[in-house]
Amino acid sequence: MASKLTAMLLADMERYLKGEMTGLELQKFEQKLKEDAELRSELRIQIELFEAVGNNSDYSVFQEKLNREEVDKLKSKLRSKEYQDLSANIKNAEKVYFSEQSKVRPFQKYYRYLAIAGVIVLFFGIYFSQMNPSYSSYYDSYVDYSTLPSFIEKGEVTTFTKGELVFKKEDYQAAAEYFAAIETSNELYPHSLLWLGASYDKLNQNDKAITTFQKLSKVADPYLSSKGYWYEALIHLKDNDKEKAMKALEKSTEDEDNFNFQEAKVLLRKLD
Amino acid sequence: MKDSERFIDALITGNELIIKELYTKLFPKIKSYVMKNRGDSQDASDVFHDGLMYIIVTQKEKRSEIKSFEAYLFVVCKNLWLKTLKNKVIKTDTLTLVDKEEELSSFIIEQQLFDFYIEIFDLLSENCKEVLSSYFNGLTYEEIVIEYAYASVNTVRQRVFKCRTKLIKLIKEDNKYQKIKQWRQN
Repeated sequence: MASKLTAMLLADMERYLKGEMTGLELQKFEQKLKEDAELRSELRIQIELFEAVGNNSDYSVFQEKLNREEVDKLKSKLRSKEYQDLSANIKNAEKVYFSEQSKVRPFQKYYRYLAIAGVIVLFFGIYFSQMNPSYSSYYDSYVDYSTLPSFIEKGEVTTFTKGELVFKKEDYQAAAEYFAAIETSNELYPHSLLWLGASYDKLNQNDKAITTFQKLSKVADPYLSSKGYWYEALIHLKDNDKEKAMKALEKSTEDEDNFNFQEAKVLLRKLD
Repeated sequence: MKDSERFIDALITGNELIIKELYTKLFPKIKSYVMKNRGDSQDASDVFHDGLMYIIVTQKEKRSEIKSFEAYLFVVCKNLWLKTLKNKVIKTDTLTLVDKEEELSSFIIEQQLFDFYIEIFDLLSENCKEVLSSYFNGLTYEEIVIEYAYASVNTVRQRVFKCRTKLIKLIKEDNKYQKIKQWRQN
């Protein structure tokens, strides 16, 4: 029978939650909970209110108790291009914020030395840039593998996730081996190319990285394939090969839906 | 335009310049909270990013009024960090796989439920809010008697019961609650 919440029942719930019930009384109450959906729902609201209003959320109520369908719906939303782009916007803003932070502080403290050092750097910079133009600094400022899409699911271990894990632990050799083992028939194959290229890049095997990213730029999904052009361009810059980098960047700027379209446009202008 | 609207607009349209301003204004406070509570600067970065993602997800399709963006973001980030800490304790095995989107998704659902409760709680009378807030913060009836100079434990008990009943009624009557109920597994 459904219970209407009375003052007495509330007192019971309070004692139950505080762990003050024992023996037969506890057994009886738990039996009642099993049979009475309304009481269960009342108890649940009570716990949720303790967490929400009491400002001491420890989320114990929710542990593994959320509707799977809702969680999956949100997950695919977060993984959609639209939300990934918005997340990338936040990360870009953060990057600018941190770089400004690191510039401001030491400069105030040691500005005199820095000013002198700056002049020296500038002098040698101009000197060297005329001797040997370096494009690898563009690689340094644009390369970012922290945004590579992750496919780690709870409790599921695949070659792909193993690769991701070792990549995060900076064991790029092992990562390259895992990702290279992923078959073309695997639905994550295009993504594995991205991770594989990144692993080769980290290992300074630039030629292999370029070939891998070129493979990526030939996959069917236009957005994924545009990632191939972008990263290929970066590796060419790392190699100081301006011409090839520009060619890949031109591909990157062919469609405004492409990965890092704006960045590619800016970079292309800088190189030109 | 109010700061909060400007920030929300920037987040859902991806205006990096204003988002950077948001970092300058609000990140130091969140960072200091995380660092004081067993976190490092990378944790603070993650929490801040996810807090902003929470705002995007909840505000993109349907805007609702946020009185103080700063206070709101702080509460969201604080809860995010508490949940992260709790998960860390559960997963003592360092090799446990962490699915970032999974964690953020469940956080978003939970936090939306909390936001909903707080929104309804705010509709109560000042007196009810005072008493219930002490009650849900774990004060005993005896302690509430002393805190608010009530006549007796019984008076407090009745007051809590009445206010709580009112709160539950408001919650159940709200249309949003029907939707929110579906989020929990039955």
